[in-house]
Amino acid sequence: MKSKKGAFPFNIMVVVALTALLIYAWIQLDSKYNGTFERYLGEKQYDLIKTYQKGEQVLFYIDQSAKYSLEQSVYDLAKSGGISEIEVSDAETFAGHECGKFNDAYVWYQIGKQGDAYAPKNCFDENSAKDNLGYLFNNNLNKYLLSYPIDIPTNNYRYEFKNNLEIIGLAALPININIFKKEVPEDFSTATRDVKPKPLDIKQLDKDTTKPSEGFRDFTGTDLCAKGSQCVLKEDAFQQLVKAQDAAVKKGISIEVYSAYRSSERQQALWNGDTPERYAQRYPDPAVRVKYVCNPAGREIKCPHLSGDVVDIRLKGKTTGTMSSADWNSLYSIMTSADSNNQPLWVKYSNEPWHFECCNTPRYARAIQQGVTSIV
Amino acid sequence: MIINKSRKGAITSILVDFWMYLVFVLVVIVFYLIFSAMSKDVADKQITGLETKAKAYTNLLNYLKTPVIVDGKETDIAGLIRLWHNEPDKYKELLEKTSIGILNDMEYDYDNPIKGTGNRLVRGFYISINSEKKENGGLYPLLEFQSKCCESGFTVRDESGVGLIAAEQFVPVSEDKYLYVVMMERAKAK
Repeated sequence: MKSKKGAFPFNIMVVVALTALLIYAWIQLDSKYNGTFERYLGEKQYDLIKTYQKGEQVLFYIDQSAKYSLEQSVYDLAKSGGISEIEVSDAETFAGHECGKFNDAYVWYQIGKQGDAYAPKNCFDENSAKDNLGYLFNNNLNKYLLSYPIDIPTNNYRYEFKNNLEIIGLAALPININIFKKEVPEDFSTATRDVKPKPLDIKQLDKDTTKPSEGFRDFTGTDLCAKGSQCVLKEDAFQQLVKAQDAAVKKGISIEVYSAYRSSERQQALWNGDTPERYAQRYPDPAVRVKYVCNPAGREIKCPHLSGDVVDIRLKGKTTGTMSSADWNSLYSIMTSADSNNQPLWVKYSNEPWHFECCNTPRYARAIQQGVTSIV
Repeated sequence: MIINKSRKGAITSILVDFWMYLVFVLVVIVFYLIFSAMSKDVADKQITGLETKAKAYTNLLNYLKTPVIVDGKETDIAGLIRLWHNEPDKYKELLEKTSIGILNDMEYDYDNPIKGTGNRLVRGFYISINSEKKENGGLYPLLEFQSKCCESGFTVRDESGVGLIAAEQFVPVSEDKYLYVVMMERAKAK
């Protein structure tokens, strides 16, 4: 500014503008807090500290649980002669221990008669004991984690065995603890999941869900997803599931999904033995392994769980072990109830009472074509 | 600020600058006073004892992780709590004795933070083991112990507050059961 004539109004303008700015800031602050500050100073910092502490609490619980699970697993493995069977398989043909049991003990060595000759067969590979231990350990740890008040993901660790009995677990998914989200239910209240039948609260989904990709719905942490499980479905399948839950509510019961969409990476990891089930280590022969886990690369039709239209499901408050035949029948009747087009919401895979498919899977299409609600 | 090189203009410029600075300072002072008055209420709503609250969790974890020899094998207090839960008669005495010993070792003296008192306080600790966390926050201890300063008598209410839960932890005892362990901190005049 080169002339004194311009200097005076300029300075006046600066002061007026500054004053106006300060008055505006005052009005804004005053209206925001309604004249008083409702929150405490340090409240956010306190929330952060509490969140950190909750994390530490969970880690302590997991550490202790792992210690006890290992003790129990060693005992269980010794009792079963170093062998552990996979109780629930996602393969189409379930297979137990290849030589079966004798007097409730797994057979290590079998001599069979072939014609006039006797053919010995070694049924136990000692090298598999470590992997069997890992499998039992994971199952036991899951039970501990499921009894914790907040959701801790199960089957979430990749185990490394060191020395003799040192197991290092590397978590795949983080434990989520909400910070500053007062509107989201406190973790302890969500912990005591309501077994009482009720339609799914869609608001709950709006708050807590993230979409892994377009057209998918992540309903992990909701009443429709079993505690500790990851639940993702295609949008259409999810809507079918909500309808099935509505049908369940009418019957005074409730359903929960414990396995749904699986990414191809996850399926490949299962096949490769990079998951707690350790399929590849326990069943190195792919011809045997395929009886337990679906090979994502070895099929013309892709593994059903990769579609996002498949659920493994049970009645709420039950496990696959505690489901009675009446429970399975109720579940079947709920899941296959007719929609407005008089088509079944879901169809059952006949070999697995917990496995249902819908929407766009080849099995669902075949069932509709044949007019059945249960199909191989 | 020199905005004009002529002498006449320079005097005017200095006067203008002087008044502008004066008004600016006055405006700043006025708003400082207004915001100070507003923040007086805020300062009263400050959370105190953040450090104590953070430390309480560490204290509880330290207690639960303290090594202890049981039946000739080393475990920790959390492990001993599990053993006690499974066999109460066998392990109750050891758990009580060890816990009280640890809590006594944790006690410490400090100056009363309340202005004008000038006395010393003893910080004591209380642990209760509960079968579950109640929704109403109430405690129904299966077992409880406290350090020697707080065994009986009057305790001073401080930033943690008597009877307020300072720290909590879930301790697994079996595949489908955990216990809810709570620590409280108390202060007593020396």
